[in-house]
Amino acid sequence: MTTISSDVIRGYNDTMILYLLLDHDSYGYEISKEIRRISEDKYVIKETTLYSAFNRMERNGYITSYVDQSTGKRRTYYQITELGRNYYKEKCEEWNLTQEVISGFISYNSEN
Amino acid sequence: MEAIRNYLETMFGNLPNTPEVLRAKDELLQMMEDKYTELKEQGKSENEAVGTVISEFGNLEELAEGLGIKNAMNTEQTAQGRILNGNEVKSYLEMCSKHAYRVALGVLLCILCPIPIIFLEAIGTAGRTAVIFEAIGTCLLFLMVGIAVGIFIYTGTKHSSFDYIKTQPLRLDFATSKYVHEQHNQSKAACTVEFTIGVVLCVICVIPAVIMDGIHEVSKFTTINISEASGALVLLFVGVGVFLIVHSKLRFSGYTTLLSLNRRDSVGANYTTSQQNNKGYVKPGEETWLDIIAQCYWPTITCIYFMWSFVSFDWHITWIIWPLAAIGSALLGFIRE
Repeated sequence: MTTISSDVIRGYNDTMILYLLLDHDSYGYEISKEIRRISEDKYVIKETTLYSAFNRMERNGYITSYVDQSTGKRRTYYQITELGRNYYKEKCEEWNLTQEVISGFISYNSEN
Repeated sequence: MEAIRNYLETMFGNLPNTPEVLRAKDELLQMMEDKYTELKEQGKSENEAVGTVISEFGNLEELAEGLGIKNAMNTEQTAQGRILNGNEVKSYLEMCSKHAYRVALGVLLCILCPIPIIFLEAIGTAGRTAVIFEAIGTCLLFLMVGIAVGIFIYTGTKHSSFDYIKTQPLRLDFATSKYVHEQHNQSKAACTVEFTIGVVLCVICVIPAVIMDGIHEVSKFTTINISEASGALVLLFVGVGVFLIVHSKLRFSGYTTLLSLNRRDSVGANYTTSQQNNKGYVKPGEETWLDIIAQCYWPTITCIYFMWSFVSFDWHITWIIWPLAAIGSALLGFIRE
């Protein structure tokens, strides 16, 4: 079975995380679980990958974090910023373009 | 869950102790904990859950850039050396505990060695028996000294077979340093009691001698010269006292050596004892004159003790060298740190 190479997907980890933060704030494990669910187990994000994405996006101002203890367990929640939403939009457009360009060169598909 | 925590702590053990690194560790632990809990709820076994969490952890190098630890990851990893395994640590601690007993026993024998002479002199006061008793006493003295020297040499050899712990770059993983730290704490109370009893025995050593002198005064008829024998009792008290002091001080050396292996400024140094300046390991050729003094300290003290004792034959006072030497040893250790 083909798996996704981490080089290819690296540029889109941010997109996935930001997508999951669009509606509501979330925390590390919930995000990793959602990525797994939406990708139907085809992509499992590593903890270190996830954390380095959080770290980078927080420094770039795309997300902010706060600690919440109301559920009984201390958790760091992440919230998307206005800058993050714009960035997400840009990334979506970038992907559409990428997909359009690359698909012109793809002659096999999974049914074959 | 303990296995996951140990894994994470060991992975981070070498990284600098900065807020960013600690936050990353904390955050990663949260995620791993959540994943572990859910896997367990799904009915996975402990091993399966731990295995999955660790296999999906990823690679710390991914974090390097974000945490500003790129240099630390590339260079320190090799400079910090290999991790001491649990068996090595256990056998080292075992050896140190035996070493403490042996040195203390050797010192005890050195202090007690004049007792046979004193005692036999007190019994046989006249004529031919006195000469024979003196000869036997002297033989016993040399026998005890011989055994003591044998013990010193033997334990010194055993001890030096672990010299690589001090001269090679090594470190401890989280679980091991936690274990050593706990053992260290557990023996602290017993050690304080031991040291206190030792000091008290040295202080009160003359009391039984004074009492026996008094008994001697009121009961003139006894054939044994109790007054002279009381000197032996002083030595016995001092001997046991010094044994306890030396043992209580030495038994800690193993723990402190191990706990000072991890670099102070790294995450792995959580259990480094606070009063220590962590100098890591001593590179060959970097030994200072203080280290050299420390190496020949106890043999030198033993020599001085016997030279003074045999020249003056003031066995009743020469023992004072041992408590003074113990204080000197503590001072020396303090200066070296």
